[in-house]
Amino acid sequence: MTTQHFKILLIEDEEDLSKLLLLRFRKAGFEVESANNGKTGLEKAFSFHPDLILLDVIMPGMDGWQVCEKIKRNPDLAQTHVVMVTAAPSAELEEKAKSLGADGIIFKPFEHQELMNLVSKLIEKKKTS
Amino acid sequence: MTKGVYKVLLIDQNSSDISLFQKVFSEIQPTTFNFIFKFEKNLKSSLTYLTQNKVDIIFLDLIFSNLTRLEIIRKVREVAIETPIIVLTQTDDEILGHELLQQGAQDYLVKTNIHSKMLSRTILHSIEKNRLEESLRLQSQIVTHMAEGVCFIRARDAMVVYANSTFESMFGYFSGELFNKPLSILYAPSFEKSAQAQAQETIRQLKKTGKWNGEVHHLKKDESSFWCQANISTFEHPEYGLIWVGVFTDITKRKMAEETLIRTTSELQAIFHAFPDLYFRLNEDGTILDYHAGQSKNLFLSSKDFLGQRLQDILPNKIENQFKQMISLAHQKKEMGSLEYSLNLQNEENFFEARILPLLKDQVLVIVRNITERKKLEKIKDEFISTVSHELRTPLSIIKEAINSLKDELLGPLNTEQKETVDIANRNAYRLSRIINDILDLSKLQSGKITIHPFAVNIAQLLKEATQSFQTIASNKHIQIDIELSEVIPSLICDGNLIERVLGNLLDNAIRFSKSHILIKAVLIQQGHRTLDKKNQKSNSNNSNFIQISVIDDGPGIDKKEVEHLFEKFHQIHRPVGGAGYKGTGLGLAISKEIIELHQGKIWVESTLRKGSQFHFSLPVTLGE
Repeated sequence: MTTQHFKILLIEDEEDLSKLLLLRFRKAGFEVESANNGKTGLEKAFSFHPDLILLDVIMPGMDGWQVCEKIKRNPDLAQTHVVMVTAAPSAELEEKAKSLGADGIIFKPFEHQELMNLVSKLIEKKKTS
Repeated sequence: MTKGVYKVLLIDQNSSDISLFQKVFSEIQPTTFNFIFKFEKNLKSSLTYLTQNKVDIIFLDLIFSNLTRLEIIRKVREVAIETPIIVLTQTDDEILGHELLQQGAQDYLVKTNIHSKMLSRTILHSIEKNRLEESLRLQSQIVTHMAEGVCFIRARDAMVVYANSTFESMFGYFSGELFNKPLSILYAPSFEKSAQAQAQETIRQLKKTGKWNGEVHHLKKDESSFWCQANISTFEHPEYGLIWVGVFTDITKRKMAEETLIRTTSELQAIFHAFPDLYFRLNEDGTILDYHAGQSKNLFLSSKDFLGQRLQDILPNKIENQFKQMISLAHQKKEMGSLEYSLNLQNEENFFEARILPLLKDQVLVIVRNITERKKLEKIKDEFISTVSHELRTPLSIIKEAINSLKDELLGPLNTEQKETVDIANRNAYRLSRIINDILDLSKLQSGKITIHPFAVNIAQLLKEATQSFQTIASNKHIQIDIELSEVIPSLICDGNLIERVLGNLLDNAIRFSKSHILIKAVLIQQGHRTLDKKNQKSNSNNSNFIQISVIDDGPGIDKKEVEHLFEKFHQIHRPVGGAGYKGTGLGLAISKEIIELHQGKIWVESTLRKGSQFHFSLPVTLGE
């Protein structure tokens, strides 16, 4: 998997998790940024132009769903892959993510490998598109 | 005997007597009575005649050679048992006459004093007297053999002077044994009154009103007691003077049945009262015939608002339809059905559970329980479980991520001991996340929040896929997994993901306990011939084929005591010493059971200590509605 020039934005209010994921993705060679709420996340999305956004669903202020909707509706960002991250595994949430245009959903506590597989799948997708 | 025509037989050797009779009969006016007159001179031939013919009256002369009067009368009586006999004598001798009457003659006539008017009067009188005697005899026989017990009690001293055989056997006495025994011995003493007091009370009333009737607790000779219905009236007896005649019917069985009925009814009423349920009796079209509410506060409507009403008048259409389906199902299957529904009452959602039991004559008993409180608690529990498990997820994912950062040496290389420690942390973080997932899933399954998405599943493929993910761990433990399929297995309509999860749980257990071998078996069980009842055939014919899947291990087996609790939450089998490398969540079997039951299937276990366990589940090939 080629990680160079692949940019990931983490929008996650759990800063411990952000910190660990930042470390992991950086070590894996990605270019990573993080934001701890929806509003800053959205601003970073415009300035950073990530290829992939890992987006937490439940956040204070603007929640992940709203952020996702805004990203997917914006012609500049619509091509960005969005993976929702949530602690409530359910079929309804999967449906909701799909309907809002998210490219995937992952449930906490996820297996580390599970996340990496999803990321590399999206890299492949990005390459072919 | 034709009315007004009497057959008269004269048995007499004396010709002059015969002509006298002939003369007298010819003088009798044929308009009043008709007599057919016949005579026999010979005693023997007259006896033969009497055995073959019936006559209404016999005139008998007693002068026959070498026979006594008594012998002659007895011989004639033998062949004409019921016929009145009038003896002809030479002289008007009262002593002789009385003796003849005692010997069986109805009357006697002095030959010298016979004339037509007197003769016809004598004939009629004798016939009438005989008839009365006959009917008396018959009545006495009837009394003797009546199915009811009859006894006569002499009023003067309250002694039994007659008891028919039914009465004697009813009270356990020998024939005649009760004669001259006091009435009081027939009474069973009670807590309040002695036998004497009871008898005295009856006697007092009989003396006052001449009658007594009612139910009495009587005493047998062997001192056991029984219940009688007695009707006693007063009569005048020629020999005993005033008597009380009692007719007795044994009502012990009826009385016992009544007592049982009263007892069970009162017990049932007490139970009805104690239970918070409502009971309704409905006929086949759903009309409420009767109800019972232990506590009226449980009723939302007053009785007049629903008695005689039909379900459709008082329930929303959707619920009424569910009721109708359950009612017809209960009748078809002849077993109880149940149904949960909610109604908005007094601005609050109320939940009810109705159990429907088939009764006779197409009626059903509906037992309704308000389960609103229970539902509220269940909701709180579900919400609590879901909140807690969600809240646990985020910190757990952070812990896992931190462990993985260390494990993957993102922060620098680890020595062996550090690696082992991180592995321990990793394993248990994994275990914790499995427990959280299982709790949430079980809670969802139990509250009915998981719906199945059935599709046609190829069994062979399902077993193969389920096994594949366990192959590595099995070979690490040197356990071989075999799959065995019976000849033809149709595809199964089920939620493949959920069923694969059940298989996974069973395999996971099997691998943890197995020594060296696990067998997975699938067989088709055809039960189409099982139902004979036409009614049932309809509902069962589609569902009567099952696929049974078994996971068989060669582990240590499960103790009988544990088998019962195996499918309960958090039940973990005592693991063998030095056994499995990781623990289960204690929820796998409980989840499996919920999933299988959601598919209208069954799951069970057979196990032999030291030989191994067989976990089976069976699923209908096609899911019912």
